[in-house]
Amino acid sequence: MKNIYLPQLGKIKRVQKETSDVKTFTLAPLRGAGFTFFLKEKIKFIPGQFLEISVFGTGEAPFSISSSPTQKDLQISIKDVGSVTSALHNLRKGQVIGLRGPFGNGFPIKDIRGYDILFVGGGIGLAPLRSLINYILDKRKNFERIIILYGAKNPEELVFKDELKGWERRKDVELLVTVDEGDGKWKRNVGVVTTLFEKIKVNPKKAFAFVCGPPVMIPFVIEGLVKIGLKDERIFANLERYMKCGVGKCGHCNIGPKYTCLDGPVFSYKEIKGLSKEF
Amino acid sequence: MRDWILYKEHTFPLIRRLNKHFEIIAPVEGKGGDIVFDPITSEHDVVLDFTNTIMPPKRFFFPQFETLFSWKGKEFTLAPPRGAGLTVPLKTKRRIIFGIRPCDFSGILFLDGYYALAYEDNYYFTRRNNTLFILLGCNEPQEHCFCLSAGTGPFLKRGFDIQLTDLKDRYYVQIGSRKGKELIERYDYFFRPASREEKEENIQTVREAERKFKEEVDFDLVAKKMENEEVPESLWQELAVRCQNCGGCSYVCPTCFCFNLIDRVTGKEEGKRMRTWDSCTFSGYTRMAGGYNPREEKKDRVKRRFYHKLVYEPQQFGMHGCVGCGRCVTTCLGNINMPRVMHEIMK
Ligand SMILES: Cc1cc2nc3c(=O)[nH]c(=O)nc-3n(C[C@H](O)[C@H](O)[C@H](O)COP(=O)(O)OP(=O)(O)OC[C@H]3O[C@@H](n4cnc5c(N)ncnc54)[C@H](O)[C@@H]3O)c2cc1C
Ligand code: SF4
Ligand code: SF4
Ligand code: FES
Repeated sequence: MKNIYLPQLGKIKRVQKETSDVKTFTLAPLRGAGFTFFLKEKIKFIPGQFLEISVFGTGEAPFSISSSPTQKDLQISIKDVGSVTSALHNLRKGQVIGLRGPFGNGFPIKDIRGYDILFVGGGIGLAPLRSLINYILDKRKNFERIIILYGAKNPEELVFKDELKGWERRKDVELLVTVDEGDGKWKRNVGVVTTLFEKIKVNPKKAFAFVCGPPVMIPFVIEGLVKIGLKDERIFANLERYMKCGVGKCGHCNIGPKYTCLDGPVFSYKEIKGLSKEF
Repeated sequence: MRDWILYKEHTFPLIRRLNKHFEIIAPVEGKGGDIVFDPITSEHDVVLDFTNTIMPPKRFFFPQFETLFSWKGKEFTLAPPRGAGLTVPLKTKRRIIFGIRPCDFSGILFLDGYYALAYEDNYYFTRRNNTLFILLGCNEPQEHCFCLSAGTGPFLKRGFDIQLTDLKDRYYVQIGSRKGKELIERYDYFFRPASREEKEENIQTVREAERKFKEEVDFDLVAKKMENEEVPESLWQELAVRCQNCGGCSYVCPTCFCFNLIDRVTGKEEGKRMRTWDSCTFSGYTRMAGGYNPREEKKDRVKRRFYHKLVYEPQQFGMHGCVGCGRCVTTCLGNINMPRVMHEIMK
């Protein structure tokens, strides 16, 4: 029987500062060629899946994989909010972490081929979406339009700034960025992410939408998408719950009869609608 | 399978024999005079005329505090890494739980189902698979017992290794598994085959016990009303006022499985990851980064507990999250308890 609580040892290969409180960490196995992942398929993990990362002595917390399985590097992007996250922020290149996973369902990558894909992200919520965006960009011809709506509190809080520039330059990506509060230099949209909906035209029959951001943002974005005419089963949101085990045992992540760590973290609006007002 | 008889005067000699090869966990008198499950040192510790123990034997499979692994060495603070690693302390002896009640054993069957969903919990199953269960059915249900309504007692039809029925000077012995059969065969000199009259006596004893229940609830009706949202929010509101957030109901419950994971630093470059019991009635149970808490209100947490046990778990894997042991009745300071809530819903 596999020990589902025992992490594999890994180390920090690179640290990249994104904002004043967000860093992206590239992870590598402590020894040997690669991490042994639970998935047996050709792909290492599915975008949208998460890892349980340990800082031994402080604890363990779940983080979405922010890199794409089509890329060589395994990355997580972390906002410093508490004990484990700040311990991670204090780690330097070469230091040791523990890793379990990947866990969770991930995005429905098989169902979305041939469609327009609309991403709506808020703050650090761009992390899991980035995994899917880069996955799609590496298989660009399998998809139609790619629209990314991204919002943050202020220009400094935008994550993956270099990558955003890269996406902006591409003709086959429509990227719109907004901030709640601009500064002197900010020339783009000011307002919450839903204000970007007016600026795009989406054919709801041809589109799938993926939403990730702070809990307060999600209901408003879903409402906007429903208004545009997207069907409930084409709208997906990443739900964040307090998680401990990541493998459907500790109970913490439950929403109604669902376990966010097993049945999620990616849920269609059709699924969450029925889960009472809890989400 | 053939049924057997064990004379009561042979019970202690049998336990002494078994204790040579197994760790025996049985009801014993604890320090405060309560009857508790504990490993025995001698067969004379065993108390078999008990009603039920204050805690179910859940902790022998899912301990209240448990080390999942420990670490040691420079590896965790410095590069480059060398040598050290993680050690898992999981070791178990072959064990027998002697005298477990059918409701509590049903709690184990429940955990078997839950801990095998999606991923197997290796800590639980390593202990579980190393344990043989000898059940003692209940001739005298207690005031708050409602296992009959839950379908988990006072005697079981299957699932156990061995089940004993008290026939005054003898035990009627039923075998329910290969492990149970092998044990009886190995110690066959303690047993003799049951006669036809004894078989009948056993059936009568079971019937009589079933007639003694004072508490009766309708699980299906309650689940249906809850699913159809026919339960007024005012009920949860009223219960919330009484709930003291103590978590006692989860700790005494044979089926509650929730836990927390924490790290303990035990020395320089040394520490361990532990898991400890947790409860959905605690406000920190769902609180997330940034302070957002999907079940901030006590009402929602109390409601969660009952929905989880009565609606979600049957949906998820076909078993009620309540085995009718009645422990939460005597434990709750605010007098919130399973049968009472069920009666309120049934009204
Ligand atoms: C599936 C999933 C994917 C996630 N992906 C990312 C990501 O890509 N990047 C990122 O920065 N964050 C992500 N998070 C959130 C991240 O897990 C939490 O920020 C982190 O657990 C906080 O841990 P801490 O020890 O630093 O905080 P603590 O010191 O434990 O607590 C600070 C606050 O965080 C709350 N908290 C503690 N543990 C959790 C938890 N497991 N989940 C939510 N809140 C918690 C506490 O109740 C408290 O309010 C994700 C969460 C989930 C469930
Ligand atoms: S809910 Fe109460 S009566 Fe039911 S199994 Fe748990 S402790 Fe026993
Ligand atoms: S969610 Fe609550 S009722 Fe359900 S197992 Fe956990 S502690 Fe028990
Ligand atoms: S995180 Fe433990 S059950 Fe989902």
